[in-house]
Amino acid sequence: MKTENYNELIELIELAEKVADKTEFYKNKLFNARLLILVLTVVSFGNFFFLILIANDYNFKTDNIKFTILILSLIASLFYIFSIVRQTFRFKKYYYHERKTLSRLLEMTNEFKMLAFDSSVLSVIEKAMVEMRLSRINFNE
Amino acid sequence: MDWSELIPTIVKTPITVYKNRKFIQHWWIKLLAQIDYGDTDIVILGRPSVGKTILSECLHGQAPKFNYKTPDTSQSIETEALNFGDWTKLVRVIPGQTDNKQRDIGLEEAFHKSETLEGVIYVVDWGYSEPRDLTLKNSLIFDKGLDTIQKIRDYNLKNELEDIKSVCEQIKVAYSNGKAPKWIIIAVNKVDLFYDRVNDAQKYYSTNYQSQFTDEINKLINSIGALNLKCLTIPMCVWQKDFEWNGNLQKTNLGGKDIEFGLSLNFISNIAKMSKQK
Repeated sequence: MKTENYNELIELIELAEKVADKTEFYKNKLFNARLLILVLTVVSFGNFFFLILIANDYNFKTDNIKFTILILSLIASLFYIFSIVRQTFRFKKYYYHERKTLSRLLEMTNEFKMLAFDSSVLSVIEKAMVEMRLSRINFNE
Repeated sequence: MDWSELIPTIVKTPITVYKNRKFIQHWWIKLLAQIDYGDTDIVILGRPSVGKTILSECLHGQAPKFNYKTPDTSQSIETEALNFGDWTKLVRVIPGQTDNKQRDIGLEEAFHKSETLEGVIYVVDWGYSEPRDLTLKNSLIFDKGLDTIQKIRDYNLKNELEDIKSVCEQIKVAYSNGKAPKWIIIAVNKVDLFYDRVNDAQKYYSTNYQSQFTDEINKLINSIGALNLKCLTIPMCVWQKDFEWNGNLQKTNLGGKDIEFGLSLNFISNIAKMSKQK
């Protein structure tokens, strides 16, 4: 006979699975955003030094458009970096929030599993299924 | 340059290295602990909230300090370089939650991969552990009916038995692969909560007596052989704190810091003795 403990455990596992997926999602987002910042910073620095190098020999009357394009692209990339940095902070906040929830769930599922296994008459397969579902969750993101 | 001039330097270097071997070994193990690399010498196990992390931090000298903050639930393996006697050991603290992947990784490394595993410190607290999560604590008290200290202790002791069973199984399998520990220490933590009943706790945990807990240990010793696995039970108190459960209070009554330090000293010297016996 499945008891309330078992139902609560299943609900906790479902929540833990969702939170673990979200954590993984934000972790990837955070990684991609950081990578993009790195790439854009390198490109912007390259652009900036290129501008300094060519500025001396530049004929501003004839090559005005090219110079303006370079300046604009530099400003645009700086703005893009700024927006991604803001996004990174947001992802970081979400990521730590999900991680905190996951660590609470780790403690709770561990305790509820023992209660459920103790109070419910579960078949070996049911117990194994709970164990397998729990083993799939990465609580240590 | 004559070769005779070189000889003293060549001879001196190994002598200097030999003289400072303990110092070199200490820093080498510290480096390994920092980068979390190398085979485990000693593994610390136990149920969640029994005080494994705080025990390792006490042995490391990080606790007790005035600004020390008691740790939260450990989610990953903690690696420390700890001094026991003359030599430094690489100690790993394995998280207590059975659903934690890190626990499986830690146990796998310690019992099946490590070539240098000397011993296991299994931390117990005679049932005086409580969940750190307040919701879980309230759920156990109000929903599950564990509303007295005795009930939560019985519940904890039952789970502890399940845990020691699984640890004993792991050691048995490790022994069959030729990688078993040489000793196991049952560190009975939080004795400040039952100092007046410490003999009862000893009867429950010491292999000289018979209890459900010692039955598991004795079964392990009988299957491996008493010469292959030494077992010792040592009382410990790493952090004096009252135990509060649903308004019921179990006050700490160790009787002073000197007893706490004495227990710690006894613990460290026993581990050093066990290590030397190998």
